Amino acid sequence: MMRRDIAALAFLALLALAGSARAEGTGRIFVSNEKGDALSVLSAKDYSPMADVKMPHRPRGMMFSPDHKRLYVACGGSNLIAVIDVASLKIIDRIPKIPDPETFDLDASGTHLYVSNEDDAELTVLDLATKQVVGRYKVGLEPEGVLLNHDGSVVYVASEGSNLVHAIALPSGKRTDIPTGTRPRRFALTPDGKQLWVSTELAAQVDVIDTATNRVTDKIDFLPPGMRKEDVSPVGLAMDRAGKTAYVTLGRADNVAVVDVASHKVETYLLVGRRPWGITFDRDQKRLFVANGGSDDISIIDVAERKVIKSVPVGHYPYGVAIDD
Amino acid sequence: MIERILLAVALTLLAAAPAPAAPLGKDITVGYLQLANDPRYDERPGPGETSITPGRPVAGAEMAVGEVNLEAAASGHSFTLDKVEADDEPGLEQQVSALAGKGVHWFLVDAPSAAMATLAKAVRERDVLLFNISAPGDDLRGAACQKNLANVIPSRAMLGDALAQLLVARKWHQVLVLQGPLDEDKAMTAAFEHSAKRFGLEITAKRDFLLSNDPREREKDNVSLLTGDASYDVVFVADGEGEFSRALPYRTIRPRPVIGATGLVPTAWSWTWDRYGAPQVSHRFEHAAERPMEAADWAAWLAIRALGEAVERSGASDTAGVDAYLLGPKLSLDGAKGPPLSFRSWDHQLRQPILLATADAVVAEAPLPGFLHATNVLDTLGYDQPETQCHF
Repeated sequence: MMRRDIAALAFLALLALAGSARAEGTGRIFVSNEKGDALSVLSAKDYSPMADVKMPHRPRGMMFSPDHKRLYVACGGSNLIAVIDVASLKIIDRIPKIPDPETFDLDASGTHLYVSNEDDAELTVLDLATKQVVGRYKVGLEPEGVLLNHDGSVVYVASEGSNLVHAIALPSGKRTDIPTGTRPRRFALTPDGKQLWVSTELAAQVDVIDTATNRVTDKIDFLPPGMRKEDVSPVGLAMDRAGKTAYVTLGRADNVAVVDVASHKVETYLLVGRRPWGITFDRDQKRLFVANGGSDDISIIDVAERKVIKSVPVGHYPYGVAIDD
Repeated sequence: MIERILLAVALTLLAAAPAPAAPLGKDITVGYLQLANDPRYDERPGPGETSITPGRPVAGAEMAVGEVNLEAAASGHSFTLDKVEADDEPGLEQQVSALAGKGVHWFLVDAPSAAMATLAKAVRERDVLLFNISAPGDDLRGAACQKNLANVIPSRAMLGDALAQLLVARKWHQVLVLQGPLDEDKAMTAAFEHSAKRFGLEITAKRDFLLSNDPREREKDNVSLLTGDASYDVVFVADGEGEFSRALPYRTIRPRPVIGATGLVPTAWSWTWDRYGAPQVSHRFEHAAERPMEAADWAAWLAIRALGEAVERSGASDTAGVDAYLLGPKLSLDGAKGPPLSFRSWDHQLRQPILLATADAVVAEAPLPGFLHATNVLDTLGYDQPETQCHF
């Protein structure tokens, strides 16, 4: 074996280690139920129900702290972000006075939270230690998806009511508006950081943005067999760590699209529950979990087999899934 | 002889030539027209001893102007609203002429169906495009349609079809129809009768009501008599004024739901609609106008959003190019009602879902599941291409 190859292998091994460096989790799957005002907690082993955590109103976006000890949950109806202790399943803190939070991102250190305020056309930056707002950025109407790039130098916000994606340079706040298809929703960034994918719900597409030029360079169409374009409303996006395959939930079309990242080709469609929304990988990326808002269940996909292997009932109007496995 | 033929050909060509397209500037002024004495906005009796003064939909247009300007900032376009009021129907035409003379091409018009039809006919040859934001009359999408009239508000036919679909879905096939004395009530009834026939419902009785205590009119003003001696699954009431229908539910002889003017009402918008980003739209409106968003507010909002979308996405350099995109198949408009919206090519009616709402909930969204169409299920509501009476 060539020395270069060995070096490359060692690097890959390190990467793999970095990916799983976190200690083993509690083995819990968290599902936010938008209209049930609760989190459903399932076992990551056999998907059996473990607990229901009563929440403030309209829990939607969820993210773990980098050490997975805390779970942050945006509760739009109560204008706060709840902090759950992952071990005890107790709400241990509330970050109040955040208008209608929906989705958010955490910086790599887990100290700052970037949240879109759907009703206020604003992106807010919170210092989690002090619970103080340390930054506000004006964005378009109904900001939804929020994503920091890999080095934290740019935050992307999708304003679904203005058909714009904003690239906001940090910390300067310099904003570039990128016109997209109708109703941009969620993001995925390729591992090399060069392409930003954004689902456009009413255009029934994913727009591919070149992050160097901040322009839409391609549009990926979706049309599961037997469907019409107006039935297709892409929202949730998940891309694997290898940057090979992306998965897009198609809302009203009740399917998940499997897309080859390099060619932008749709390879297959997987029928799931009604109105699939949030989509999340487990730790080793062997399974995908899809929240089906319209059928109050989650679909579990075997990634290698490209098959839905199980559907599990959860609370009312599941929105997203977070996994501590 | 040849000269004469040539002259005739030239004249024909001149007549057929479209109005010269005006170049599209960066600053776009949109005309907003309303009638000073529009009876639809008169103060009227409300529940108990209250009164209701309906709000004007201009608030929806104003909200949308701010929104499209945000979106248009990248391209440098800037929209402003020029609001004018007319005292009567001829005044509407004069206002359009005056603004068109200043280069205004697009107009939102808030006027009742008859006035809307008169205005649209009067300006049919002018280089303008009118958005109908509040007139539901079916003839505006039929015999009285115009190529430069875009109907954003649903037609009565669409509202009637939405109700009929719900009744079919629920298997409530027999309908008692109660009709008020206003022209509006008769138009509402006629549209519902058409829908009932279209979807195979049976109207078992049709009765005129009067708001009165006169014992000599008891056949018309006594709810027990009006709703007795008939077999029906549901009562449809046509009551533009609203005072009679308000207290009709729970007073019918048979325990049957009431639909139409009260109970379950078909509408373009409801403040209780909570899907597809609708709460954000409603919240913004309530914040700006200090009242809940209603159907015409939504239509005024959407008309400006449609124009903004067409200006930004058509890439057109003149108003004709924008109109072609706006009324063409590429328009994919976000109306916060689910599917993307666009105008029907055959009558320039905006295809859209209809909400079936009570006072505090949206019960269903039409088209109801199972009502299918060869090209777009939204075209199961209202006059479809083969049935249209509209010929531009």
